[in-house]
Amino acid sequence: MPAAAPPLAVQTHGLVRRFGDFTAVDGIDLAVPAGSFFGFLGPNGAGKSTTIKCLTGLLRPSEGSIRILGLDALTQGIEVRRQVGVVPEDLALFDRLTGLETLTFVGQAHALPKATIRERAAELLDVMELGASAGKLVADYSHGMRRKISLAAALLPGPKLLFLDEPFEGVDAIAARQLRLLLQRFVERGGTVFLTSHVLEIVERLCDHVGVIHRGALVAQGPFEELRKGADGQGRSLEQLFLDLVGADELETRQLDWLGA
Amino acid sequence: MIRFVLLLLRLRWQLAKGAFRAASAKGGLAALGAVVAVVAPFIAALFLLVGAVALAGLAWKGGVALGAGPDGDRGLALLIMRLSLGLGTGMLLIEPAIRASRGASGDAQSALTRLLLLPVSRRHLHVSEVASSAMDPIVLLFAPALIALGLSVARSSSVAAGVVTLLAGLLLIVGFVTLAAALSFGLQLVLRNRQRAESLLLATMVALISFALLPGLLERLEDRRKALAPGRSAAAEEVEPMAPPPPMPSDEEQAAAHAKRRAENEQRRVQRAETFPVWLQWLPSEAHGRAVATATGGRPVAALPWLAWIGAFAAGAWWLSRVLWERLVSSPESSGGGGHVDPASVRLRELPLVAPATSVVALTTARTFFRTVRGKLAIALTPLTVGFLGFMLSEGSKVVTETGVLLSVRGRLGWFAIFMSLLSLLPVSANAFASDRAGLTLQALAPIGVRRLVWGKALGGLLIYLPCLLLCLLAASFVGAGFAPSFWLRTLASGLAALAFLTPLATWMSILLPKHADLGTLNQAGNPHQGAQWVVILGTGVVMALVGLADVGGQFVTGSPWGGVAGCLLLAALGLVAAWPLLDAASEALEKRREVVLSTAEGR
Repeated sequence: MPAAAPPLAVQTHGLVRRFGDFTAVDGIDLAVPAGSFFGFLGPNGAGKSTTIKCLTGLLRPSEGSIRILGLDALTQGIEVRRQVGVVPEDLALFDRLTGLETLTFVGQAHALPKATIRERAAELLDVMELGASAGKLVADYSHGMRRKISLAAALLPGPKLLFLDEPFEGVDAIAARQLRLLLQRFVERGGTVFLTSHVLEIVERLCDHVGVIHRGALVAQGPFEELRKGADGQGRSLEQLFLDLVGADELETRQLDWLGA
Repeated sequence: MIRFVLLLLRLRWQLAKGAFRAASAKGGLAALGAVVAVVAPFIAALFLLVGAVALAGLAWKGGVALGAGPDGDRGLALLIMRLSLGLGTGMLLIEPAIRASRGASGDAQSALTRLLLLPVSRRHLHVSEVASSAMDPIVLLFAPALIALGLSVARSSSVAAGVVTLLAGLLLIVGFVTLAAALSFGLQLVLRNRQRAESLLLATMVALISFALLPGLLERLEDRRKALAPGRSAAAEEVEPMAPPPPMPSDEEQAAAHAKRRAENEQRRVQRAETFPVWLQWLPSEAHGRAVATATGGRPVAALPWLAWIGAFAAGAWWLSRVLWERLVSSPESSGGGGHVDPASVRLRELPLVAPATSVVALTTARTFFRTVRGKLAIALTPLTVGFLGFMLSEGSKVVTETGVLLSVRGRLGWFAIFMSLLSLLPVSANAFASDRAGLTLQALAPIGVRRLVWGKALGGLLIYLPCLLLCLLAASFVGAGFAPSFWLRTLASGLAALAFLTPLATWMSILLPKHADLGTLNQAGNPHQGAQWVVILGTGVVMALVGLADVGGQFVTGSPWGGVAGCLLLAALGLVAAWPLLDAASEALEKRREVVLSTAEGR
């Protein structure tokens, strides 16, 4: 008897999103197992952010269906948002709230008990090393600090699924390490992470499942190790796999003889 | 250096071309706006050229009067010159404040960073930046006049007097240029910090509006003082017998009297100029005046100390510009204050009787608005304006007697308080969603339904409006409307009615015509969409008429001010009943236009 397939945290069917004549996402069928660390890769303009926006309810798909944690994202949006944390591309923060107020806003919007909000906010500020800036307006935060507070806001309600669009961009090495450990622990405890990143090393180190999108179409998805081995059974690096999948030829760098001369 | 200046000019041209191309992509109107933005400086430059030529002509004529004219003409020419240059100095000094009122911008900083990356030494950059201050409109306006004055004095008086006048003029131009540069660098340093920039903006606006209101206020005070002065009562004037008319003077006598009066007036003007406050003589423009007066008075050598003083001023301004420049390019960008806050001590407020999500949206709307420059201005300036109008109108209460209470000064002040409070709410009411900018996405990602979001925004408007209205009422009460309970209740009920009717309209406009707006500035960038703005202003007028009808109607029917209270309460109840379905319908509209509103809020 074959083993039962694991439940899916994210499942799309024929997901299409058009902007006028331009099709940004072209009928993708995603299947992200619950409890996995899913890396969503693609070159610039491939449709990663549009896909995440559709999955998180910021954009309505032109066609297709989306199920998040077993719920229909198009009809049960609020229920989905209760269980999902998101760090979007533009971070989505109020400039005129302090770091602490941003966290309490999210806690109150999720109708968490006040004591829980205070407790989690204190812990998250501590972990993100933002305690000393908790009373500062987000408008005065550096880029890295904004990213950290956005991540803290996504974590505060205790989500089952995290969507992270380039979470490591602009974050210093110490905070990045802390963030990696935090996300790994989150997945170990049964949470699911859906992450996009341009840094392939990070994806290689963290993700157990990978999906690759190119020109709006999903060109590969599945367990990372399986994809890496490929049909021929020969191991490849993620970089090589990525370049093969998106059809990029070996970069033939022009000579640029004058450079460094 | 010339190559560098040409490079900067080329950069300006390319930026203008790029702005036009980007605007063209957005449509015809935007492209037209870009063309206007490019053409407007040229038109301004034309006006400046005409002004500079006219001023130079005037200066030439003044130079002739100073060098060879009679004493009266000489005194007048000197006075005009000193006043003009004093005005120029004043304009130069307040120019940064006016520029600050346009709001903080990161453009200057990024331009500076780009310049610092060029292979040009900091010393050369400083010199070129100071030299570019010669393009300051005030400097361009006065420089030809100062040179023309020197040449004219040299031609009509002695060469020595002309040389001193010319030298004084050139030194003053250098002083103006270096001062303009120092002020510009200082302003950039202030604007670099968000909190400092916004404080400066706020202080500038309060000062400008206070100064604008001051003449009217002083006039009214003077009227009151005169009215209260002994022996000046109207009754006393009425009983005073009329004096017999004087005999008609002959034409010669009239002409002589006219000439005498003219001479006396000129003398008085000169004397008045001579009695300028002592500290003013240290202004470079005044030192220039002294130098010119002394030199054209036949003592060119005695004018040298004044020349030295103008030179010292220019050198001091140069030194200051250098210090500020160094600070500007050496110090890192600084951010605002704030710091550690213990999360355990934070009070998590909730509005009673509403869902937690609605409550948090409402509280956040009010909190974030009051932290912007526009929010602070709404709470600081609106009551000031109402108080001022109340003070000016307070005498008017005697005039309206026919309908008794109906159109008393109290009623008018109450309506004005409501009107002003509604207008101060406009930046956030007519652009309720997109004014949150990226914060709107945070709300869209939270489990907050669209209906709760819409109602939260409406309640947030109430939380902003009520303190404004209460402060306005307090100001109105202090300056003449009094503290009668019927006045307060009537105005509060009218105010609630007005808001109840206006909120659905403003919400609909916020959904139909959203605009990415920065409420931290006072320029166009902080305004709602023009269409939304005008519809809501028009709506405010209609709503105010309704409120007036309910107020006056209630009083007319019952013959008591309490009738007005009842009328306004009835209208407020009607407003709430009408607002309910309209806001629910707006929620559905927002659901349909969610993507447009979200992308606009993010500035896409």
